[in-house]
Amino acid sequence: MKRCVFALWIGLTLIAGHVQAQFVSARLDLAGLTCSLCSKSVEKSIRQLDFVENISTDLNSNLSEVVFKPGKKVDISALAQKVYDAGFSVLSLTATFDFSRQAMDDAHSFAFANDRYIFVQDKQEFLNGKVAFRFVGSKFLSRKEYKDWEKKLPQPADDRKFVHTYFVTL
Amino acid sequence: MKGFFILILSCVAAGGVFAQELFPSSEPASTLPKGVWAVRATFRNYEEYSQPRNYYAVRAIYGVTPKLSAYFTVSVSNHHLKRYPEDLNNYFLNHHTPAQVVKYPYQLEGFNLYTQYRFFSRDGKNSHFRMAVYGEAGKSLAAHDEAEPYLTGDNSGFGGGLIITRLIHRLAVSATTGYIYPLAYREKYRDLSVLSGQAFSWGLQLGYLAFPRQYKDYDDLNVNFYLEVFGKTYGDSQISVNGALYDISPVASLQGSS
Repeated sequence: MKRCVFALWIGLTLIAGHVQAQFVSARLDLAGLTCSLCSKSVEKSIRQLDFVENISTDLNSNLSEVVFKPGKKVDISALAQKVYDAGFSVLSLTATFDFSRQAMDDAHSFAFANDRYIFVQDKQEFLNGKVAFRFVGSKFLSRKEYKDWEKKLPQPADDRKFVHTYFVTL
Repeated sequence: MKGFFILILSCVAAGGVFAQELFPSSEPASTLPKGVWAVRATFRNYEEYSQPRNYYAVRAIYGVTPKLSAYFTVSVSNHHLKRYPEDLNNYFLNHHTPAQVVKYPYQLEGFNLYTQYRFFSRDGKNSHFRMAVYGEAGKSLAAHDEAEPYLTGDNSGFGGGLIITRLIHRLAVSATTGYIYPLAYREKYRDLSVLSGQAFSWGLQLGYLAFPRQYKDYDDLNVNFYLEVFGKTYGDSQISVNGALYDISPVASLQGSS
């Protein structure tokens, strides 16, 4: 009996100690608005997403901090789309991912929950712990900044295996 | 002729709109967020030789997509008769004069369906430049009698136009230009039709977010100042009875009354 309890204790300890790789939070720089009514409408739009735990916005700088629910699949594309649904744009989207000893593949990318993340700058071999990276794409940057990026982005061959392929930089 | 507006009140309940662009009498190029409802209530009052003339309208707005909004407006007023009186000549000549100005009943004045599509957006930090086109259709239930067409109550007809809006920090500047194609008001039993002139309209709107200077939280009251300037050029109206143009003239009036 004692042995059994000990084994259970070990098991629980292992579960508690295991860090599940996941998105933790995101920071959005919003464009096209100045008043609090506009920021509120962005918040309302983003709160509709089932993986969003909380959002807070600095009404003077229009920077939003989004906290994700642990264990829920985070859809970064849907998050940006909610800003556009509210009638505004994203100047910058940075998400923090909690890595659990993640090695990058040859293309400097990693796959997570049917999505692929390719580092197009500041290429990494191995990531561990909380790392914030910025998304590169027409939905995630100003038009001007995306134009500068557009020609530099790779065209991955095995795209179809993934729901989304994201380009990211540290 | 009619005097002047002494009061225009407009209030809005909406999930997401631009404070500086909430012009009381016109729309900015920005559209509503997707899936959001807004309601706008408008009250206008003026006096025509001591007769109060009131107009009430409720407008429901829905964000169909982030770029397409639909507006439905119902208006009630005491601006018109339901039908013209038998003596058309006397009515058209004299009903805006102090001697013959009359009290009209309140009635359901009309409906308006308006859609707006934002086809261009350039958003920057605390700024945007946007353009939208709109199209509208109005159904009037009132016996309107002026050359100037107005699709939110007075006239049945169609309209469309272009809106350009620039927001720079606290200031919003918007320009609107439009065209109105009115349909005739008809009374079948005497083969009467009254057609207002076709119109080109333009407007310039300014909105300024005066307070708060710095936001602390969402409960801060937004205080905005608005300035709107409108213009409209329109053609002559045509009245026809039994298929022939009806000539309103003081001479005919004198002959009719002698």
